[in-house]
Amino acid sequence: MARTSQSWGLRTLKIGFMSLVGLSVAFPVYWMVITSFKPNSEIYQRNPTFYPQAPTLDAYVALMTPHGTRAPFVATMGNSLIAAVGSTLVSVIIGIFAAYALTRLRFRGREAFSGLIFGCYVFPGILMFIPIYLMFQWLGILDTFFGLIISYQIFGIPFATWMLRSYFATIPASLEDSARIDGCNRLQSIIYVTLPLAAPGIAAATIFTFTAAWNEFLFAQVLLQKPQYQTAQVALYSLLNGDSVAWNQLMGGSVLVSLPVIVLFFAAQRYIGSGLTAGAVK
Amino acid sequence: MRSATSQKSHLAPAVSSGDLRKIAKRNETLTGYAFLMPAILVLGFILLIPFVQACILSFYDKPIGGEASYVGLHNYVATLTDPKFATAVGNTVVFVVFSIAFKIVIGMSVALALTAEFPGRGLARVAVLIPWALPEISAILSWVWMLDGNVGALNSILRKLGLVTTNIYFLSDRDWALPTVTAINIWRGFPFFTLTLLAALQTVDGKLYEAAELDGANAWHKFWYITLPSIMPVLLVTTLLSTIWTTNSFTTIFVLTGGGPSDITTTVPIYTYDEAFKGYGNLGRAASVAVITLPFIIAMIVFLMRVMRKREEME
Repeated sequence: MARTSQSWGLRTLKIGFMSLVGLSVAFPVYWMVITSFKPNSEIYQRNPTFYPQAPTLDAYVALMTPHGTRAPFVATMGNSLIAAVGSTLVSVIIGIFAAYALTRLRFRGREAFSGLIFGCYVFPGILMFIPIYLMFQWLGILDTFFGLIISYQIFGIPFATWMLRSYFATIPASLEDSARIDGCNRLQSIIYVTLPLAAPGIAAATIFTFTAAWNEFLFAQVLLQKPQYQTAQVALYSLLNGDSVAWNQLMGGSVLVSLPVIVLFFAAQRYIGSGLTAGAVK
Repeated sequence: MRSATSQKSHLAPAVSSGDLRKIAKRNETLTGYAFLMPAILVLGFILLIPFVQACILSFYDKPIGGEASYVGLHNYVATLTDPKFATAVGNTVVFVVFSIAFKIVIGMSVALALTAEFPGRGLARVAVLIPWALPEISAILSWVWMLDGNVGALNSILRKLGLVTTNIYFLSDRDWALPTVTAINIWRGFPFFTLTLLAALQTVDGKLYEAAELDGANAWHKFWYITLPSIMPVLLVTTLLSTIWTTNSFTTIFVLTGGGPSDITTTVPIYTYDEAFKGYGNLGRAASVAVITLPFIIAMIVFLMRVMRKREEME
């Protein structure tokens, strides 16, 4: 694509634009990280330092210490982990069966079910937060991880199903047929043939469903109101609205919340194109 | 079943191959439903019941802790005549239109730049996804901090570059708040366009460009007559998806401004939240807002599915 006839001006414009984009991507992350290593005294200067003059772990120590009766911030990360792992397990297991039915089995209404799952995938679940809140109140599952995990299925199941569906479609059905000729029943052929072949797809679906659940904010904010159940995302928000905002702690907390996601993201990045956007790109 | 028995009389063996095929087919149908059942049950519980409940609730006055009382269409009248709701709708339109337009332009430009060969391209392709991959709350908090009107990094940088003399209160100034919130939404959303368009660009047949070059086409011609038509279906689907999600985006604005100053950044989702949990806290009113929004969202989803089905038929 690179062409010699490209004008000098256009190339400068291109490089300038990409530098600006690169800066906008990198700087917020850089700023988050270095702020978390700054001591309190260095944060509130009118002209902030662009690298910490006296780097310290104060913020991280504070995030690990309880405040009065309040659990330390890292404990809220445990809550996020419970919610994210629990809901991912439910989404992926249910999603495997649903995706299998939608790609492998022929039955009346299959197309309609496919459309329904996709509709749910696109549907903004936050529109439902009020009736879900009331229903959970009525069922007595507000302030329980069980409730939160169920609420996360609103995006988890459609998301996992849709990703797995596109992956299952790439595995030839003939392999499973031959296993069945050799005497496997349906469940055995799924467990011994299809699932091992789909392992990378399942891994990718697990990672992305986990990330979506880990990052979720609104349901966690509304459905878990007792401080001991707060997820890290909600805890960060309440740190922001505290009496005095300790920005080094807020940024330290943001770094801690981002770390698992970034690690998983790089681990799974080769699936991103194929899996996550399967709905859009096919 | 009747046809199966009538078939049996024609054929000598007790179980005909037609029977077997039918049994297998029925088995497959049952397995299909059984495998879909958990997904349908959970989604029904978490989506369908609340959906119906929202419709019912919208006819009631229901404070958070209190009893519900039937008020007929009052919630709808109150919402539709509330000047704050009109403001929220207007803000949502501005927010969505500008967000999507810039996400398309920036997302596409970056995708095109990343198709060219250069050292470190692989890393750049992953790194550009960071705004979209970061947890929303972390990314947004970082912006709140950088945009701070007193000690924020951005104000300091702008002062050093000589672009401003007095600090800009990006999130609390009436003129700056909505553009700022929109810009941050664009920042978070453009990588999704880059991602899908990069994948689409890879499917464009390189021979088309060669042929066009022989005919003397310049870069712009090639983009307009080859690249754009080839990636149009993906662009359309991505745009629709992003429009639906941007219309309902909550966390970004909630954390940045909470809808302020004086409702200047209040979009419909923020308005809904305020109706439900702020002040009097009327869940019925909030439900009526959700119900009013639903037809628009569902229309967009149906349109999106039509577009996608068309594409599948074409392939």
